Amino acid sequence: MQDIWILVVVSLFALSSSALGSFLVVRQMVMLTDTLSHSILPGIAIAYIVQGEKNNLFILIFALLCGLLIVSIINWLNSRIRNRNDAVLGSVYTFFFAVGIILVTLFGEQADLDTDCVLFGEMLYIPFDTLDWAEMPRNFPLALVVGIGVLFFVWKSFRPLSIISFDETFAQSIGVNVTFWNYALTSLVTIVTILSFEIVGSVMVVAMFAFPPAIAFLLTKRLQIMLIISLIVSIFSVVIGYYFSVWQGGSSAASIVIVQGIFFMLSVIFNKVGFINKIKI
Amino acid sequence: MTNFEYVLLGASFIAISAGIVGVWLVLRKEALRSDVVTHSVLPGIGIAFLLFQEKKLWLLLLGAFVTSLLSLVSLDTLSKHTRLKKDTLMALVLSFFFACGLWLLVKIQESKNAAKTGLGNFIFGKMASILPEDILFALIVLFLVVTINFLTYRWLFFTSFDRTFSESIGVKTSLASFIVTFMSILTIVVGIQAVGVVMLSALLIIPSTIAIIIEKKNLSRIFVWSIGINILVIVIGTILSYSFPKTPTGAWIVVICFLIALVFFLKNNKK
Repeated sequence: MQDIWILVVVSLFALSSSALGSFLVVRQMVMLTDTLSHSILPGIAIAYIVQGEKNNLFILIFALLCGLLIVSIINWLNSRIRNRNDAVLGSVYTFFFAVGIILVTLFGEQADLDTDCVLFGEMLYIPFDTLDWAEMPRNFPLALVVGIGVLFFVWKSFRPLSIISFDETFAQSIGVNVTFWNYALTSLVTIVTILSFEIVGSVMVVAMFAFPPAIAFLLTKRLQIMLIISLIVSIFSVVIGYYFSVWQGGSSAASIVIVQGIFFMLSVIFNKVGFINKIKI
Repeated sequence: MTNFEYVLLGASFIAISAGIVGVWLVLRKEALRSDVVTHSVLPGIGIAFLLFQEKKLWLLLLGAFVTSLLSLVSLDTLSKHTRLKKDTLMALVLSFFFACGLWLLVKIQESKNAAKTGLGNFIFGKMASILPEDILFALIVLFLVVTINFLTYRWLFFTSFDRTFSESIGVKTSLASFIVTFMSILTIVVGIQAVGVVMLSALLIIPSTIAIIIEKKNLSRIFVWSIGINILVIVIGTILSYSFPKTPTGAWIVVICFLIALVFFLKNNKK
């Protein structure tokens, strides 16, 4: 039963991240999740320290505030310094990550948070951390709401999202509200990043967003099919990766990413050979 | 010498190598590649430890060298042979290698080996974990980096500023790229224990970016500034991580780097 709970919660996050990740891969924005997952750490650390216990809503609010702060600092610096955007971005997010690490190592003990949580996430603790009012993991309702919400959003707004992914100017000209859809996509990505940070750890969040869509990107040229393949791949890699770590030991989050990497290598090889392209999907 | 002085000596050797290599990386716009290298040293350390079952630094560093080279080779091969864009590929390669490294690290921690202690320092860095014999490695790498720089300075100079022109006068640009990659891997490999995998790329990139902003014309002055800032930052970071023993050195270094960078970023604007 514990295995099932872990698989369900992680799969829900994997589904939401790969659905959003498909658009990020097409738009070459994958590094956004890397930046976010590193720089929200101080927010999460402060939420833990202030609250003294886990409270998803609190963490979400603090991490969102932290994200807003970073975006405004980056914008402010970019407006003052020209031509060094990549350096500004790189230094701001590593700075925030470093501040987070210092907070975690200095005050983490009293708040049940350590650098291992930051690196590996807390996947295996999911079933032991139950709600007061029901026999289910604390993360489950949230994962369910986010998963269904994201999939519903992608399904309902597939057309505008795909149009702005390929040609923003064209989308503008036919009356699509580009700014609105960009904000909607970015804020959903932020929420999913914050929530999956706790599950898989800071560095592996980007893999959950990037690997399944990248695999699908190699196998097809149509966005709908890419989306479907990446959802299937994400579920498969979660299940196989989890049972691999049960069988062989090692970190579960890391073994999910390793399985995704192996899938990716296979798809590169088969794509090169031309095996997949011959099958008409 | 006391232990603290040893550590400071080793730290300054690392700082000088990082200062030199960082300038080339930023000038050649290869700064993001160093992020991939720093994350992919971890599986090499894990594999070397599992193979030899002891914490011999040079064996671990050899493993680190091999996997980081492998990560760059796979990055280049993939960008040549797939339709995926460079930033997506970097995210993929980086997270895959890092995941392999973390998986091995957890595996090693589960295996209750007495010699395992201290492998965790490779992730966030702990300057205090440097031993006197490790300083010898830092010195060798510094010597190699400086020698390579003296021998190939003009090459690197030309190819960094105008690749097409240097190609046309017969300079081998790909070889020059390889030399820079080689030097950066060497530096990263000796720096990981002190500064940590996650934040070493900041030490390579931020001080040299500040140096380039301060000094716009004279390349040798850029090198001097970059080395100077690097030494300053590493020394302060080491002292702070000594005064708060639980905190990792890498994190302090990044914080100080950023604060110095902020001052110069803003000052730069007023000119």
